[in-house]
Amino acid sequence: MTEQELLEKHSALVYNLALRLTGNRSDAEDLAQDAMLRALRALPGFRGDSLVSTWLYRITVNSWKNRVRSEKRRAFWRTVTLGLITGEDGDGPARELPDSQPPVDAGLETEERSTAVQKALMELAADDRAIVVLRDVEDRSYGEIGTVLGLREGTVKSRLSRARAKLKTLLEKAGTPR
Amino acid sequence: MNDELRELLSAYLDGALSEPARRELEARLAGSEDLRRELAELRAVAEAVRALPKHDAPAGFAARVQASRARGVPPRRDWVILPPALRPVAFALSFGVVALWIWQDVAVRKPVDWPPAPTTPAARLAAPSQAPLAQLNMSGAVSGKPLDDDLKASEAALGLAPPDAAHPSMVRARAKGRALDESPETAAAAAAPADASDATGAAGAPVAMSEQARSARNIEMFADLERQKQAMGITGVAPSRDESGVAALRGAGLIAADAPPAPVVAHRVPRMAMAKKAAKNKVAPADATASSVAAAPAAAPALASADKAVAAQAAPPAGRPAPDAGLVLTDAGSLASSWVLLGYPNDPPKVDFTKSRVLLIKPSVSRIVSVASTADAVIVVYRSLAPNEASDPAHDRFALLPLEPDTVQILDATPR
Repeated sequence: MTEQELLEKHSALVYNLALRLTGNRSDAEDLAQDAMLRALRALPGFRGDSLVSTWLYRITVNSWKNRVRSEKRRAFWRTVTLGLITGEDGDGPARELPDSQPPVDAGLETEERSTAVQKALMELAADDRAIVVLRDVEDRSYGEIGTVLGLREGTVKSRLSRARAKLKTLLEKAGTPR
Repeated sequence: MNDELRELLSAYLDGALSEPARRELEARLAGSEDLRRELAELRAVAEAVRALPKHDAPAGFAARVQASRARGVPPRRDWVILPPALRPVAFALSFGVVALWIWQDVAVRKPVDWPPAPTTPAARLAAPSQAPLAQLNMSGAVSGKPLDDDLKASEAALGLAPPDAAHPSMVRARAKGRALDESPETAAAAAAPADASDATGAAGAPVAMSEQARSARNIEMFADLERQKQAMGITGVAPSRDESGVAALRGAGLIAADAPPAPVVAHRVPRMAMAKKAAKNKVAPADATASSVAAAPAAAPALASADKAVAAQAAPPAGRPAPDAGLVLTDAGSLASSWVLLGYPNDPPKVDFTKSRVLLIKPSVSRIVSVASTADAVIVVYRSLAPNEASDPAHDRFALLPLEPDTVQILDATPR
């Protein structure tokens, strides 16, 4: 597979996953670009042991998890520094969904419902969000999800069940239109 | 609803149960209303996520990735401060520094040997910086009263301090004040005991220099500078570094006619990457002519010679230098990404980069008027569009440039 083919055939797959993981367009494009650059660099060494899609999911999810970790670290030091200056705890979550950005699915017929679901997804822990997105958005099997995330199938199964239960609670709280 | 049962329902939704497990769960579902309701709710959640719309990558995404790759932009780092491989080294180094600091502080530092307390009042004032402050204070405490007049008189007779001084710093301050207010002789006389009373001897010296001595030193420095200027043939200060400016000064008699050319320090202010290129390339002559610019055809930009964009160094009459108004690009990736970043529609024109390069004018309301080549530079002239004047980026803000010579001058010919 050439670099051009990889970009043409799989950009949408990577971008869509990035969009559901990050919850906003600018971070999604940034993440997708980063993931594609990594994939292009690694392409000569890709032996085809797994599906191209699995390989790309893995690169994207790993890039995203690194970002989440970095953001958490930054948020921690921001909190510590601000706490020292203001004397407050500043116990807020790491920034993930800037309010200034329009909803991911703005302008669509299902905008209201999609926005509520996306917002609930953003409440899940990183691995749980990735599991739900890979299973229910990308329609991947437990085995493939385990390969992407480096988890056993049993772990994927139990975490998916917990994540769905949490999503159910969140959507009920939000009164999601059906 | 326990976790195990919910996990079974979730797996059942995904068709991930073994056949016996599935049959067993279905039997339980048939007999339990609660279980059926829970399954329906979980199914609704999964359906809601599944119904999220799919999005295509944004327009130009692949081009931007390719452009980043062509520019050699590395993927984002996974680490924030240090690569993981270097973290143990950094930890060891920081640990070592802290250990060294503690060792220095605890084991190496020698105790201070305070000198014995002076025995006479005069000696106490003679070496104040060597005596601990407590001892100085104690002298007053022991006597129970400030230094009396007899003591002050005896210290003045020994030349250790002025009669009314209590500390050398006050002596120096007074000497400095006198140097400004009184005659130099008085100031010097006042400064002398201050130096004598300073145990180190050096600390008081700069303060003790009289105003007259300072003036004399300054006069000597100026005279020395004048001698150097004369030796170099400089009789005035040149306002411009170009030859015409020097010639004008020579004509006005400010520079000796037979003097060798005065060295001139160029003071260009480089700007980012363009200036780096400018530093590598030779500077365009100050009198780069505008006539060749005016002679260039306006509609079809001609090939001229140049390297990457270099700030124009002079202001020929054809326009104002605007070195930042354009980008000189040497590969297709840079062209593609710059085209997108500048917001120009469609794709950029195809270019054979082995034969030429491309100049993009950045202001989106501009038009390239001419591209002309001189022996030393390519001169690109552009102007702002008139109101309601139509424009096409591929035609108006795009020009092919040859590979040589190095310098590109960009001039803004918009009438003011």
